[in-house]
Amino acid sequence: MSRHVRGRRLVVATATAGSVLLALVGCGSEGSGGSGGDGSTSLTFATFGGAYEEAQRSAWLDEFTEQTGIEVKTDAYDFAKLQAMVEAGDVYWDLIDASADAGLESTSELLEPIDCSVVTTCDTPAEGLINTDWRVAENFTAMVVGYNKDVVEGDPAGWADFFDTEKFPGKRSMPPWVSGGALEAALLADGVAREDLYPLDVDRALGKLDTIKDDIIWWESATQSAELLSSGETAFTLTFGPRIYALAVEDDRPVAAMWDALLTVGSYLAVPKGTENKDAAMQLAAFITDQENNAKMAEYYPVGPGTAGATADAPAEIEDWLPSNHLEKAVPQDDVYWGDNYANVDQKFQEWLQQ
Amino acid sequence: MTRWSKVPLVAVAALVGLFLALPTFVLVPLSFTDERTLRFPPDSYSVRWYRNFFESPQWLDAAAHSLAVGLSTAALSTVLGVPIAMSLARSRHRLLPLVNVLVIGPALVPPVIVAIGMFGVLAELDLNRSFPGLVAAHTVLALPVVVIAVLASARTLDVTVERAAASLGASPVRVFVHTVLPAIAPGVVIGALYGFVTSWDELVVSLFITGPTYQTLPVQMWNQVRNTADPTAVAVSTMLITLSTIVLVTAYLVTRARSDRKRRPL
Amino acid sequence: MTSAPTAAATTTARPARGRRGLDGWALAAVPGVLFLLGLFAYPIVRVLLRSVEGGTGNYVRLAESTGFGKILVQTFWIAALVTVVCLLLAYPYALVMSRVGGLWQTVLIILVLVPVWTAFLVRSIGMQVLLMDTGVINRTLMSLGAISEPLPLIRNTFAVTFGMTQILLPFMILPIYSVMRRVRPELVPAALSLGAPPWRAFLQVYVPQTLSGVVSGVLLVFVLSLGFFVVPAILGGTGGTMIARSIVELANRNDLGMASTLAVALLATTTIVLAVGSRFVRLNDVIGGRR
Repeated sequence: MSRHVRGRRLVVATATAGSVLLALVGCGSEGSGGSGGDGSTSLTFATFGGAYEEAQRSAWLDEFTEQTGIEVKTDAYDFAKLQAMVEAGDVYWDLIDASADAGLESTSELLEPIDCSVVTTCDTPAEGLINTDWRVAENFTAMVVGYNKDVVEGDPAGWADFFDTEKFPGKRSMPPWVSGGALEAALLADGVAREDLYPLDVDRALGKLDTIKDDIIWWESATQSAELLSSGETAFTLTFGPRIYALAVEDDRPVAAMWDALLTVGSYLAVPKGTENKDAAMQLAAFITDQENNAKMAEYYPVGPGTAGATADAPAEIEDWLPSNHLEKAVPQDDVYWGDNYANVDQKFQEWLQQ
Repeated sequence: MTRWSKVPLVAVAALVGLFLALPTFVLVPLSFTDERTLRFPPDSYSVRWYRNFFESPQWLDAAAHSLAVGLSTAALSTVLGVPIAMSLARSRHRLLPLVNVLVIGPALVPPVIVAIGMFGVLAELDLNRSFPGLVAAHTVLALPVVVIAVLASARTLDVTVERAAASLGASPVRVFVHTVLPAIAPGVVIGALYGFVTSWDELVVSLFITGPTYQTLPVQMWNQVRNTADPTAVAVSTMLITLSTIVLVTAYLVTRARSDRKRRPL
Repeated sequence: MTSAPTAAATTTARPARGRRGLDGWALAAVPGVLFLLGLFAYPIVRVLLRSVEGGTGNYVRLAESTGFGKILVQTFWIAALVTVVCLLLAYPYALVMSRVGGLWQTVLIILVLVPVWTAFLVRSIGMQVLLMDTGVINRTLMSLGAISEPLPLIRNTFAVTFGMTQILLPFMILPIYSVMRRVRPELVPAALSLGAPPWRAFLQVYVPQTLSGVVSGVLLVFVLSLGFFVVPAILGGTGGTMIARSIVELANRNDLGMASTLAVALLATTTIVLAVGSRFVRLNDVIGGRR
């Protein structure tokens, strides 16, 4: 009897294990985009989520679908994931919104060359932006110092005031990664002229940062940078302009941007190597960067156009916050410099942080 | 309780309990903020973030996916993890120290490295961006936690009972089900809970394995929080705390009612 | 000793008998081990090999850099600190939880689970709101006139320990609790009746019976602490930089080789620490006590 029972148990156990396995393998993967059975194409655009992505959808993606019938899905961009995808040959992103360190020579193995017969703006990036064989400028964002008007008394103006804790007491907050602008800020505050900024004098920059080291809070996420500024925990925060815009305009918080302390950072479109929808991806890149369309994002979100000569018709509350309207003292970040020097400068920076 | 001094002990426990609940005291009011930044106290209150959750198909889908993946991960990691824990507690096989390292490994290798490796192997199996792929990945991450939790109970087991049962002719499966399993049940339940929680809160690997058509709650939160502070995440947490409290209190009331009924005839 | 598969096969074929039969447990681990070999060991080794792609340059860079070394030491120091604090708080809590009955036990369990249901991204926000210079605690104390300057509650070791302990405490409490439930407390009065002072009866009779739970809890909290980075960075400032954060940063800066190198360093150091630690507390006596 016990043998029978045991036998049946074994069958049940095997069957259960088998069905779990079948379920695991059988379902297979889904939703990897690509060509649909009816011949329609859908694209996956890897970008940055939230309000930024919503603005892209309103400005470009919906219109593109309407004109071409190509549906555009969005996903969260992450460089390490791009690398994993291309190396594993499982590429389902067709177009990426890459931050400034992608699309240079160093990442060329992960990207398709831009087809400049389709994308017409290869040679006409907006001033300060740098196109390469693998990327085309999409927009640029302000990296600007915001301040809390409840904490800061008076009218601070420029990088020197950002570093002057005697005149304007309170904590300062900056991005935690080395190319986040802290070094540029320090040198500009120390009197280095805009045109002499690059290559950075790293030792001088760290020396200047030393003078306020105890008052610096290195923010961990852009969300946190906004929370710190909004609550008054920090008097000044170097962060993405749209974050300060959201606090000031949408949440009605007592914060303002110090436009004399402005760095601009480019965003670029690039096409991951091995995508099945390369042609459609180039088509979308061409649509977004087209001189007629490119500035439309500014109608929804305070970024500047990536294409030279593209002009926006932004609503009044965004108009004041467009980085393109504050370029007199702006310094474009040199991502070619950062592409070449990131590892070395970062090592020095980390050692300085740990001192 | 036994005779050792009770009062300081209870006082410490009360303070620890308070400490555990501390962030919740801020988070619950924050979930009712009318602002987009999480600033305390908010100037005005509303239920807009709860509405946002229930009116958004993305948030609802993500919650459903997280629940399905979490429960499956809890089940699979328990089914695989309990036997591993028993082996580690019992077997004298000489390869077991290596198994030890293998099992703790997923907790020691930084998630981003696990994510990159996992993406590669799931690509070979064509399982990226699928439910089974996500469950498999989360199970790998949950196994260390599940095994260690079960081990706590497994190590206290008395071998003689099993030996007695086995010597009376009970099959290994019977021995396991009737003597071992009841004894390690608390460890197994805690292990399964940890398995669920590991999956429920996992972000880094999930960001790699999921795609636009299948997202979990942490991935959805990440997509929102990266660019806008979104208190919807806080509203979700508040609902979960409320839900788990209701479930546990109900469970307590049900067991009490049952034991009352048992006691009545006496 | 017979080879493992044979021994294992024998035990399943017929009822287990005596000590030898118990090695059937080795077979029980096989599915899980195969799962981990295929889905974890194989892909991870492949990634870690990136660290030696193009020679030993990455390891030289690690050896020459003072920054990475300091962060690694800091990581282990924070993990150890958090583990000790968790143990000190969890043991009495679990003790009370295992001894009270009814509603109070339910309340204590609910309190353990409360942090568990809150996503770590959200918890870190909650703790920042509490601890900031302009946070709930400091503002309350200042409005009460108890202090005039904010207390240094954030961006220091205290804050890191506070935040990580808050999150990891359930991982220490529950394994200890699961073992305490099964402990026979009546042995303690027995020892007392034999004339042992209470603290000795407790330490020598009760605590040893709960050690397997303590070992599990310590291992869990220590290992999980090593992988933290968002919470310590938000609460601890630069003093809270963990190696896991450097690794993410490198992987996202097209430097997977160096990221893998740091991961290997973390793994190697942890293995050494655990090996030395298990000697020190005679972990093997606890794990392998029944051999």
